[in-house]
Amino acid sequence: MSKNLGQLDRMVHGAYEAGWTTDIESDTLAPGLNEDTVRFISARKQEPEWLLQWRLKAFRHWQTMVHPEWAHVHYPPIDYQSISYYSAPRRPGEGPQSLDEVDPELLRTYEKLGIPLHERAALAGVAVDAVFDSVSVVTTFKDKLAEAGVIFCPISEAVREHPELIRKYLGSVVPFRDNFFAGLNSAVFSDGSFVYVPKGVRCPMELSTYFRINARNTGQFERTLIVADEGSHVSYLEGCTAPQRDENQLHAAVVELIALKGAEIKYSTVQNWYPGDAEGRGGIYNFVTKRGIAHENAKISWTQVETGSAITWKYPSVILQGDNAVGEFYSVALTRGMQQADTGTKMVHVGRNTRSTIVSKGISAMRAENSYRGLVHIGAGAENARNHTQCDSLLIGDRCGAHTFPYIESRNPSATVEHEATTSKVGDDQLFLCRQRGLDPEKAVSMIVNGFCKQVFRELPMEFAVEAGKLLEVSLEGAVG
Amino acid sequence: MLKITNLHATVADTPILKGLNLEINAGEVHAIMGPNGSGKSTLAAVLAGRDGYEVTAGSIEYLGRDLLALAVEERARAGVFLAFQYPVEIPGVSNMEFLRASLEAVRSHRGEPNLSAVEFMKLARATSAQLQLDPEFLKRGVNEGFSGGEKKRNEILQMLLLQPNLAILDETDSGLDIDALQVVADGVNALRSPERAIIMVTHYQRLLDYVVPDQVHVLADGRILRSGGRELALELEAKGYGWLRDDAA
Amino acid sequence: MTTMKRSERIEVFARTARTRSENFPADTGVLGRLRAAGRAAFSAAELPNPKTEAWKYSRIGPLLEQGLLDRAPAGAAATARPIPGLDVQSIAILDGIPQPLPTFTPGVSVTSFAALSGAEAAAVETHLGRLAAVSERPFVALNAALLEDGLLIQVAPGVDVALPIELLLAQSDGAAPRGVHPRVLVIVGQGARATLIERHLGAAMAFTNSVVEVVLADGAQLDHLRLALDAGRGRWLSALDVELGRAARYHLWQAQLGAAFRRNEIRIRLAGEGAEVTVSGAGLTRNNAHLDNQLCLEHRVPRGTSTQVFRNIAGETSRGILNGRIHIHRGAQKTDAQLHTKSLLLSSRAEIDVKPELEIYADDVKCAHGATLGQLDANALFYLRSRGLDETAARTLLSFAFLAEVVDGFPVDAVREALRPALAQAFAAPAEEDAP
Repeated sequence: MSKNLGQLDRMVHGAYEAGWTTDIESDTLAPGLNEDTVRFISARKQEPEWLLQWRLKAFRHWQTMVHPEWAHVHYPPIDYQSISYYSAPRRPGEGPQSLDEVDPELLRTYEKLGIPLHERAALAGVAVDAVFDSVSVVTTFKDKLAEAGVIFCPISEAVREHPELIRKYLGSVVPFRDNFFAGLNSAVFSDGSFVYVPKGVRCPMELSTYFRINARNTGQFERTLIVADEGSHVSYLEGCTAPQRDENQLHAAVVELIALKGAEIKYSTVQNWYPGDAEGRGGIYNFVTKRGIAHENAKISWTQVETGSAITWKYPSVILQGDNAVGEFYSVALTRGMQQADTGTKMVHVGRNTRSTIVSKGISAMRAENSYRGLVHIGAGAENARNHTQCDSLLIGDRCGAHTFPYIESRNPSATVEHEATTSKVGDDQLFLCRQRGLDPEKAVSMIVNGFCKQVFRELPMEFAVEAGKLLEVSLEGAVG
Repeated sequence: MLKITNLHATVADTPILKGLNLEINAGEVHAIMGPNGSGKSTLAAVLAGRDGYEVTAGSIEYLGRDLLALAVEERARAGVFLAFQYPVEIPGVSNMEFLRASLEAVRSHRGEPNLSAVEFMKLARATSAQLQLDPEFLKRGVNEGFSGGEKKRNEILQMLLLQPNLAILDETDSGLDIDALQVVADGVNALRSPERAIIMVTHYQRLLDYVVPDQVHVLADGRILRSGGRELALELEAKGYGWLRDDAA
Repeated sequence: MTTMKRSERIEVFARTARTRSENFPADTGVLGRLRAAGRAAFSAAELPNPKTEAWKYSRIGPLLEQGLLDRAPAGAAATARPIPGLDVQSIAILDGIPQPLPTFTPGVSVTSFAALSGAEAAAVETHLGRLAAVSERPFVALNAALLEDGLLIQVAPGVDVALPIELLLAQSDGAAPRGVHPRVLVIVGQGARATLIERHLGAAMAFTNSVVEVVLADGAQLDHLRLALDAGRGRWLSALDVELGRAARYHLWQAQLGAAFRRNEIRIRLAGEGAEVTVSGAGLTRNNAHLDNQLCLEHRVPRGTSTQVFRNIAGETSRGILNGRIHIHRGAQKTDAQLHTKSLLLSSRAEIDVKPELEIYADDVKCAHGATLGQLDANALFYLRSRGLDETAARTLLSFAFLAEVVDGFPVDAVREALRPALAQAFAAPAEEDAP
């Protein structure tokens, strides 16, 4: 259910060794980035003038920005002129024609994860139409949403169909000036999801990009905007446990959440983009800006399980604007091989009686680097604000790194902030106990690591949680010893 | 069932066991007693295959196989069970989950079919009830926040579920009050059978009032100093360990 | 006059510093070489700006005021205020000028860099600028570039020095703005043991840019107390770089009030196995004072332990900052490193910024940090008020108790005795409407 079939076209079985592999075809823009690129993208999407102007403003500003250097990650400079910023949806006939043409290693992983056969084909980028044989399911789904008044569509469609909402909210939480990657995304964003839940409506089902047909080729600069009107409730699922291949190495997505008075948004992510090979070659750079604003009595909850990508740079954040707003961040980040992750959150307390909870579990194995970076900011007006942060790192082996960089800023004497961080390894005595009870070492480690992550997993929607556990188990294979 | 011959073992290059001989047959319960530092827990750890305990000489034969050649989990699957003196906490892993994984590993090695979730639950609940443990206890993390007595009863619970051939109880009686001791002893007695052997490592003879051993061995300075019946334990209780040493000298 | 733009002020500051450094006579000795290296490093360095991570919460504005690079006029001398009941052997650097040295107890030798010879010269040659390298921090480079002289404090191997050594860095009151750059190298020999009480005195508008390097040989122990109990207009930037040999012990005790600018850059390096570090810090800022503690505990080798405990209180429009980094190098297995900090804000115009960091490259370690920000226990407040204290008195008492958790652990009785009234007075002083 939660496999993200919507992204199937992006997942081609590509040779990462070659680096930036972009097929240049008639419908694909040649590499390079200038104002004309931005105009071209906007024109191809038949966007209104105001959106073009917004993109151009973003682009001009982005040109004045410098690439961020503060994260605890290292990679060669990115040549933004060597990237193609637009490619038309893939047609059947491209990519591998059948599973026989797909890397057997990838297929074995799918098997271990228990992914159904037809989904494996989709994930591996096999060009088949059959994946949408469940059109009737999708139709039922759409009917149900329409009945509730929920809008769930590609953002490009929303620009045409609901311009007033897009104009009002796009860039309202993550302005293009915010950071380098958000600026870039604002100029060249490809597509993404738009969700609007009307006042008082409880969205009748969990929204997953799985159901969003027409979501093909959202591209590397995905843009998502979710607006939960007063008193509404929505749970959104993104990603996929299966390793996803993508021909684009750089991903710079932006996600904006707006929870109006009394609304609740729960946003769950499982990220398993291609991490690169054992030597760290290839692999996705996942530079994501995710932020929500919670108005009075609203609640925003981010849950993420990050196991993929060569480099992860993301800090799903909440601005606790209104009184009594609640922000949550639950994260598991597992790095192995040569992966690097610098991830965490920002909880910005503005309103009175605002509360935030941060639970971060970082697991680092082999030669990976895993950093938690988080900000808790208590503004002067945030009377009685509360934060609790628990930040635990687990190291597997003596060649990896686990780091914690919390920033705690308070300007209100009635606020309470508690931050705790620990570092541990899988204990020799824990391993011995498990083995003495008959478990093999790999099973023992995966069980101990799953236990370590439990606090986060239980925040995930049920089927995601089960998959996440399995995902850890598969990811840890070979990492122990 | 178990034959230990001239066993020498070191911990961090310090010799602890210095030529230990011991033979245990199926159906027998042996108590190993001795003063602190005599090597009792080292013997238990060596039998289970714990890292950091190096066997420098001697052999251990278990059911006709070379026990020392087996990995920790292989010994466990072959029916060697160690009840830990200090049971380990594994945060986040529920007791239930752990017991099930362990039982599956051991049963599948024996060629027995896996229990269904319902069968397992029934078994786990029944066994906890037998040890007077609240079923809620199965949902908690392995030994996480358990009291000393609960941890020890949890060890016995695991033992009863796994039905080992050779159970080694390493000071399972320490830190237990009389009521808990009775419960633990009942559990151990329930396991006694002609096919099984039990080694009880203990400092005090108190446990032996509840689980009556077939033989008692006194371990001192890495060797069995004396073996005898139940009465040897009582004699130790009365006279302490000193007289044995003097005797030996 | 601060009508200049920030960039201009920085430029003037940097140019003035360079000119001053270039005016030193050519010198090929150890001082001359350090000056030249400092000058080069300072010229190449960029002064911290708001985006400089290590200076995220401290602005250098107060250091750029006119006159803060001027030399103190000759003869100007601050007065040393002794701590009542404290028997010490004292070294004083008053307005940047080292005072005549008294005689020291056996095993302790103190020599000015200008008067070095033989083994002492060799020791300075080996260690000076080794821990506090000019390349990493612009103000350490500035200290080197403007170095006039400095002091070597040595404790001979095996000697247990009972009488505490006092190191006074004092600025006289009421004089014109000026800047001084004290430099001290402390070497505690193998198995030796000593107590060093470092005091920063003065509330005048002066810039004290000190660098203290401490080398502890194998098995050495140093109890290092650092007291800075004068608020006011002083600008204090203090680099403290410590290295521990095998099984050495270093205990740092800090009690400090904020000032117009006070920043401690403390780096402690465990370079020998089995070394042990404890850091206890109490900080109080009132009015618009600034107190910034930047610590980096570097575990370079196995089996080191470090424990850090901090208590900070910020009132009125002041700012208290703590950055406590624990860095476990690859291979530093069996390290046990802990940091715990609690902070109290007394006003909604004050700010506390805490950044505990862990950077860990070894798996078999025990590392943890905890940071809490909160308020006084409401029950305790109520209890005191029910016994007749007014709210202000009750709050003062409890705040004081909050700091006392750290201060009561200080090792020298007379210091502990002196701290209580000093802190009580700092609490009791009425808030200033307008700051210096």
